[in-house]
Amino acid sequence: MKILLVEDEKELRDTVKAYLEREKFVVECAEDYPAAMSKINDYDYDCVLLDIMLPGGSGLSVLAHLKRTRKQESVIIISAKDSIDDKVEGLDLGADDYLAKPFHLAELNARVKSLLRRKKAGGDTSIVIGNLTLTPDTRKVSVDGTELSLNRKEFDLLYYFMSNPNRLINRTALAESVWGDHIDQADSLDFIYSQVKNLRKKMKAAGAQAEIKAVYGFGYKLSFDP
Amino acid sequence: MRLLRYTHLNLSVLLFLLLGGWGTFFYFTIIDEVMDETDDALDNYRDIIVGKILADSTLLTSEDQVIHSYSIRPITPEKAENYRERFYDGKVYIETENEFEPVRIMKSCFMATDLQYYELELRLSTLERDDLIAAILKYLVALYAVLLCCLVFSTRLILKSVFRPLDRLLEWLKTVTPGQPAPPLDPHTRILEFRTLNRAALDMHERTEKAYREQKEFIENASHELQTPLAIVRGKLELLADHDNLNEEELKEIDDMYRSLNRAVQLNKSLLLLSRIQNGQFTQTTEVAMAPHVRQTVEMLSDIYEDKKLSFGIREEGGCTARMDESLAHTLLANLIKNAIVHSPDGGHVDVRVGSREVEISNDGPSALDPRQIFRRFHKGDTLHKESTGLGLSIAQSIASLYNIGIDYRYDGRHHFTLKFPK
Repeated sequence: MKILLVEDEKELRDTVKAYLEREKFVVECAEDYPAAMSKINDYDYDCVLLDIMLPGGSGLSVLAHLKRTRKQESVIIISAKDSIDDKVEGLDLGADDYLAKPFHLAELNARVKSLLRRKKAGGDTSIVIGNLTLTPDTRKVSVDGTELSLNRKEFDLLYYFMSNPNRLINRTALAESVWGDHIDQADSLDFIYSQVKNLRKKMKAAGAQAEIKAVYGFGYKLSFDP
Repeated sequence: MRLLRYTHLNLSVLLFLLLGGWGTFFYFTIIDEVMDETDDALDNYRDIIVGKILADSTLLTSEDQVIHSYSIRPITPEKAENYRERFYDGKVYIETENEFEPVRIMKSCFMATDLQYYELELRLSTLERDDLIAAILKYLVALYAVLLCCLVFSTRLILKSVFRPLDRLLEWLKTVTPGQPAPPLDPHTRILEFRTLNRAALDMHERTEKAYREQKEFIENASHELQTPLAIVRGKLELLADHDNLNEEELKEIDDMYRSLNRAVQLNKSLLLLSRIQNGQFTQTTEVAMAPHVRQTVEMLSDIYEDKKLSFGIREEGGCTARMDESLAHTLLANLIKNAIVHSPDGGHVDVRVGSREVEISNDGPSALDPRQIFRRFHKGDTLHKESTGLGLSIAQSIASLYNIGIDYRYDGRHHFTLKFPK
């Protein structure tokens, strides 16, 4: 899977690139508007991560060009502006998703994967890890074909874990992905513990091969050794 | 008290007293003059009668009873020695009219040709004089009333026209709010002081506006500029934490950094949201029902704060709706409900009542908050909640004022925050 990362900040570019490369993506970078345009014209990508404020032009023009030339790239806008107008304009121009800076890398990873799954031929968007299968569209989870009944939050948690398998995920990132911005003033993240504990219990009882491991003082990891 | 009323009242009292004093003085002077006139007439009359008597002593026994009446009676020389002329008012019975009439009486004494002393009593009817005095009083009072009314009324008109530019300026000042375009103010009036005042107000407004705009822009730009470095640090920390060879100690350190960084991220987000609300960047409005958002928020937050063991009550008495941006409606309710939760003691009770035009959120709390402080940015009521950004209520208030929603706080053993939606 090939990803083009258009971002003018070198440090951020390197960080995102490193994270995505660990996921076995091929990541190419462009640091300004002309570079982005030439890469898009010369190559095909599965997904483009696009910053809006670029030296030499707007990311929205890049997006417009992509759509005009009927290229098949999925586009995720990553913007520091996080303004409603930009978001609406970006999505109107045909962007598939919008992520405001500063984002969690795990969140970006989850969104990229979700887009790529949707593009796959056949339209099967399921994530499979070992004997565990999760289908986002129907919100169903099964272990060895037997349905595993989860409540809404447990499903959201598992979805996030399965989008980032074998990665250490911080409690805050996890909490934000499921509870959204409500988490901002919470002075204790202990509630995550009980939610994850329930999910873990259910997975174990159903005999899932993948296992959620607690990493003391930091967060959790969905580990699976094929 | 309004300036116009105050000035007018003072002027009116002054006019009332001045005119009243002048009228009283005028009245008594006139009366005095009229009295004098009667006494002079009696004096003359006496001279004539005494002259006549001295010429013709038979008249000593005569009396006149018609208009001017007089009577003469002899007195002893001793009495005549110390005799003093007197004037006084009295009454005389008139047979023909069968009633008493007011008269002015003069008593005088003289020595007739027979060397005998006589007392002369002269009576002059004052019926006409009293009529005259009554007429003077009547017209004086009427004049006083009419003059006072005219003066009071015209001073009011004049004062009103004098203060009109001031009223206009005050009206204008009331409509001016920083961040919103001010209505035009015509600074031209014929009164120099008001002209200066108008110019000063306009000037002041421009400067406030500029400072406000600059502050807003600064906050917005600063928040935007902070996004990228925050994203870089957060990404680096996440990458670092993902290395397999870290021990527990190191992960704990990274977690501490991560959480502190998250506070910075949240603070920055809140500041951006605040400036975006105040910049009026939320323009999409729909009819938003409050009750579903309340339910959703309470469900979400009761999860997060489950260890506080709070009990929640949601009462839906009416279907409160408002035309506003949906995400802002959510933020408004969430911030107030979260505030109630965070500041409740463990095991406390949080109540949300949705009425037809209002939403009331109440929670337990030991003592009242200072209503002037709670909506201020970065004001933290207590030091227990270090992770709080101190912006939650400030954001709630900004959203409320954007849509003209009233937001009240009161304390009656519990904290009550009430949103009052416009009709």
